[in-house]
Amino acid sequence: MIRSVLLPLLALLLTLTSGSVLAQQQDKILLSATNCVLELEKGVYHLWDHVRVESPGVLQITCDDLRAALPQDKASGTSGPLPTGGKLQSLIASGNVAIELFQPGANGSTNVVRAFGKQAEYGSQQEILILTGDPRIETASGVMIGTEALIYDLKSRTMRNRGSYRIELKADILKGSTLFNRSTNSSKSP
Amino acid sequence: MSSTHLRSGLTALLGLMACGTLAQGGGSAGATNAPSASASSAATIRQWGISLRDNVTGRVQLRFSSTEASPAPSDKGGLVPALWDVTGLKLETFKPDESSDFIIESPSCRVNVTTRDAGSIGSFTARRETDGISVRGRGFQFDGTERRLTVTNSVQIELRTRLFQPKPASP
Repeated sequence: MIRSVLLPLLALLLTLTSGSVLAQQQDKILLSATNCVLELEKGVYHLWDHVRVESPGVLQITCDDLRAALPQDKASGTSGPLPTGGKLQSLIASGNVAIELFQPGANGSTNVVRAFGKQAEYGSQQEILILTGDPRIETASGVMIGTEALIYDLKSRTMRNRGSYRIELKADILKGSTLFNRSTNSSKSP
Repeated sequence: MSSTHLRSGLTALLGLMACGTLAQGGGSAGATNAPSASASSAATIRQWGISLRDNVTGRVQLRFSSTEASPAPSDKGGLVPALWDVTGLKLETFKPDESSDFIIESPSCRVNVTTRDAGSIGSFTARRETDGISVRGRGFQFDGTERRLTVTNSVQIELRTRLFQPKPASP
């Protein structure tokens, strides 16, 4: 009897705890680099050389140079950036930018979207990532190569472009497709 | 000496004297008196501390404290030695309303009370309790006037924030 009551409770507790741990991880951003200058009052951080940004379970960025604007405490009374509801205000990554976006897929799997470019800009208001400078985005199904800019909407997980672009699809995604299994004219003829 | 420097020198002297009194009152073993204008470079002060205030508002902007400090050789003379070699530094920065902002700690560093900066080639940590920001690295320079922290080696910053709200898994 006790066992039958305790086990579901334990399972519930574990579920809640793991959810809480996951939420805590997603509320954390780790920045690392060789050098940095932090404007503590303005909330403007500049990092360079071997820069890495990690938001566990969400994304990872490596680049040569990073400028970040952070949310300011309302009580600071300074004329710095406005609070953004706990979100990072903006990020500008430049120089050999490589981004890995982790998206939850079906059945608990994780889809990884990789993006490359010379510069990436993130703004918290629109929650979009703008890649410029030979931008390229790789997914499991193929590659999208832009000439000017590729814009990735982090909320809707959709892509749009500025300038022309090219998409290269992997042949694997056509496996099992009936697209090319149409019978020929000759076979139709009597 | 300009009036600004004279004022900051006097402020620093008052801060040091207050700290020295506290150290004696607390009965710290080996606590020394506050240094005077003739403080020798060999003097070591235990439980050293100094608060630096805004020249206009009079509010506390920075507070340096350490387990030990000794005056470092300096070219410029003054009422109070400008340079201090400190052990176990705790540097607190304050917001305009005098609430605590960043706290920087370093096992060993040099402090300049005249220019309000501190620096070391060694390790350090910095944190802000209100939003959970923490910084650590090796080699730092803190500019107390501009509130600018420069790190020259292996900086790691942890922010308690998120980039965006991830979309839940699609079925």
